[in-house]
This record gives sequence, structure tokens and C-alpha cells, in this order.
Amino acid sequence: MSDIKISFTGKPKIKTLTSADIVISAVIIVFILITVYTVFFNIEYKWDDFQDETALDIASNFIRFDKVGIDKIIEMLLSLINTLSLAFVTTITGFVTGIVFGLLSARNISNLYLSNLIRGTASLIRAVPTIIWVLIFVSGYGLSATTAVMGMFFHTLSFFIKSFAETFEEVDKGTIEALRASGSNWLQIVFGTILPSSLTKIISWIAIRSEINFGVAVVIGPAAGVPGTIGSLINNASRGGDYATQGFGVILVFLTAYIMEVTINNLRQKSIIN
Amino acid sequence: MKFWQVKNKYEEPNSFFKEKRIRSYISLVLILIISYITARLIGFDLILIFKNFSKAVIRFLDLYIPPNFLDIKDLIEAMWVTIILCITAGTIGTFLAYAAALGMSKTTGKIKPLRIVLRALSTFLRNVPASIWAIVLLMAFWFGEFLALLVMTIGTFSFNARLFSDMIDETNKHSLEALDSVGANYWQIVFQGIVPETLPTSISWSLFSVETNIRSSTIIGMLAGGGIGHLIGIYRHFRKFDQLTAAVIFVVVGILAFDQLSVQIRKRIL
Repeated sequence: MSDIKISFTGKPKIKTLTSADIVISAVIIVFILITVYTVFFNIEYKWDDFQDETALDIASNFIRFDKVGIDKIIEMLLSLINTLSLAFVTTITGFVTGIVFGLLSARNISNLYLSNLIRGTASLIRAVPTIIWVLIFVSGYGLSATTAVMGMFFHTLSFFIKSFAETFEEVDKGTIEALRASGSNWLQIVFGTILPSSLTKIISWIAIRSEINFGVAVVIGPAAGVPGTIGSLINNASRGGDYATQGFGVILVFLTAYIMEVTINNLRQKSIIN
Repeated sequence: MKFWQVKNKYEEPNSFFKEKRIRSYISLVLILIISYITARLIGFDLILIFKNFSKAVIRFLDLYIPPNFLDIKDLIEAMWVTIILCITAGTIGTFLAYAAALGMSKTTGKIKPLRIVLRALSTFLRNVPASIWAIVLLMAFWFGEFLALLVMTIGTFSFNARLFSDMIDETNKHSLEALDSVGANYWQIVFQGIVPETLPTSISWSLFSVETNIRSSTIIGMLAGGGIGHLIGIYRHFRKFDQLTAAVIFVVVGILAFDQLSVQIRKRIL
């Protein structure tokens, strides 16, 4: 034990610096420096524009459901159903196409080149934000639900391709080999072992994506101008100064997303995911 | 059949599979019916997509291609602002989330009311999309980089707080016990036992948060102002679609570059 190093305070050094420690400290230092620069030198704080009365108004009216008109409540609930439908349709269309491409891009049952091609395309699709996809399709299909579904569809598809391919690659190698040895063709392998053994995981991925899609469907209205989702109603209420309705909408969104999260957590605890 | 024999629910060996098959057919039909109803409800038209596809592509090529890099100076500046805003929001959010996670976790959170309040707060903030926070806070704070920073910090904080508290719960209890037995106090246990063990994973998650922030910066910029998202909103408003494409190219390059960077960092620290 002759290689004990002594630190400059005279105590023996117990821990030696590894390269991982250096990278971690470098990342932390860079992040903190950028934060200090941004917070103190870059951002324009427009405190003159800060409306303290409005802020108080928003906060005090947030859970005043008694101030929300019955027509507004019905409108909100209807648009919530609309938003959920939007998320559902997108998830289903994305799932149907995603499972085909997922099978084609799973390395254990597919061609390597084809798999790399599909994966590369999927990651490129993912790099373009969802809202940009919607804006792109607005030029072709106009401001309608079809545009919203098309815009959200691409991200859903690439999400499903990635997650399904990973799930399919975890399928037991021996089973596939046994089927192959007994002369099964590709379709028989897919329906005989790949899909049945990854069914529970597929269901969980669908649940997770439904939650994400709901979040996207909520905000797609105010950002891209697609009518009929709950986000547009919240936006309108906010612009019109109707903070009680706005608070009601936010609570509705929260409750829906919370129910979805609890469902997914239950699935996870049944050791379906991981 | 003798009385001691257990009656088999499935008389024939194949009836089990038959029942399973029938059940899956029924659920498939149900899903199809629900999809049809929901599609009709929102007015989704599958035929329109295929019928207008070529028209949409031609219109898209006409409007958006080729990209116009006329305002490249503005674009670079906006992208720089976006990236530093996202990193700042990621850093502040991660720090706050770590502090909250220490209070939320069952291992370190000794005060029960605080634990419940923090848990409820992070659940509430997490389940409302960040852009809705942008809409809610817009009327009080008005457009600007500060609002974008605030919204992204809320998103990072609420997402990371739960992850970190789960992570702290999963730390090795033996090392904490050892520290306790040699007489370390609460903060010594936290800083010598929990922080070193969770640091690499937290850094990895904070990188992921910055990535998510860059992705959502377009939509947050449109709604709350600040960075390249604000520029995209302006271009869209004035129908300068070729310049919008240039801005999108910047965002995509930024996301891919940061993605690669974080993959490289993650490879070295985990």
C-alpha cells in the first residue's frame, strides 16, 4: 500500500479521481456557468409588465368552480371528450402502422439494412417537434382534426417503432430458432412467438403513448390553431379574462392525466413494464 | 365421472384456445368500433388523407421548400438563446427537483406533512402539460424569455422530482446504515451516502431534461415567447414559410447535436 496519495491538507486521499468524476464535474460546472450567465446577464426581466393584479386574479379564481357557467362546463367536457378521441385515434393509427414497421426493424427477425434504415428514419422523424409536423400538414389539409391526427401520427409512429423493436428483440432466441428449425415462415414466427410473448409490454407501451398523446392533443389547439380541443378553450378563457373557466379547464386536464398516470403505474407494479 | 374427480372447465383440450381466440376477437372488434366512433366524433377523414396526399405534398414543397436563410443572424442568435434557456431551466429545475426529492423520499423525508405537500405539488405540476402553464401564466407575466424559462423549469422540476425520489428510495441502505453507525448526522448521510450514489443518474436525467426542453422550446416559444419558437410563431403569423423551414432546420440540428452530446457524456459517466 505504498501508493496512498496525500492531499494538500495532509490527510490521506481515500478516493482517487476517475475520468467519470471529471466528466461529471465538467458537466456541472458548464451548466452552472451557463445558468449564471443566463440568469444574470442574458434574460430581460420585464418587471414593469408584470401584472400583479392579474396574477392575484388568476390565483384566487383558480378553484372557484361556482363562478363557471353551466354552458361552459358542458363545452369543456365535450372538448375533453374530443381531445381524448384525438389522442385515441392517433394512438390506434400509430399502433397499427408502428407494429408493422416495428416487426420490420427488430434485428432478430429482420434484415439488418432494412432495420437500420427504418430506425434512422424514425429518429429523424423524432427530431422534428410534433408541432412542426402539424404546421407542415396545415398547408395541405387545412385546420382540421385530420391535420392534428396526421401531425401527431408521425411522432407516435416513431415512438412505437423504437419501443416495439426493442421489445421484439427481447423475445427468447431459442423459441425463434425452434420455430425456424421446424420450417415456419416469417409470418408464423411473428404470430407464433413474437407477438404473444410481448403482448403485455405492447399494451403498456400503448398506455404510455396514450398519456403522451393526450398531453400533445391538449396543446395542439392553441399552438397550431386546430379547433375543438380543450387547450383552445383554456386559451380563449385566458385571453378573455375568464380565470374561473380557465382554472376549471386546467383541473379537468390534470384529473384526466392523473387517472392515466395511476393506471400506468398499476400496470407497472404488476411487473408488466420492466 | 366419479365424485372425486375435479371437473375440467375445458372439456376438450382445444376449447381453452377457442375461448381465448373468441375473447381476443371480441376486444379487437370493440377497439375497431370505438376507433370508428371517435374518428367520426372529431371528424377524422382517412380517405381525405390519401386523396389529398399528393396535393398536400405539392403545396408543402411549394410553400416550405427551399428554405430561406435570409435572417440567419437572427436565427443563430435565437437558437443560442434557446439552448442557454433550456440548459438554465434544466439546471435550476434539476436542483429544485433534487431538493424536493430529498423531502419527498421516504428514506430522507422525515417530515410527513412536507412529504405529502411536495408529492401533491409535483404530481399536479407534472400532469398538466407545460404549454398549459404557459397559457395560464402568460396573462400575468406577458411574453418573454423569463416566462419561457419559468415554464420549462416547472416542467423539468415536476418530471425530475418524482424520478429522483424513486432513485433515492432505491439507494443502497447498507451504506446509509454504516454511515449512521459511525455517528454521521442527517446532512452528512445525505452528502456522503446519497448524493455520490445518485449523482451520475441525476446528471443523465438532467441531460435528458435539457433535451426535452429543446424539443418543447418550439411550442413554448410560440405560446410564451423567447428563443427560436417565438421566431417560428412570427414566421407562421406572417406566412413566411420558407424562413420557417430554415428555423426548423436549426431546431432539428440542435436536437440531434445535443442528443449526440448527451449520448457521449452518458457513455462516460454511467
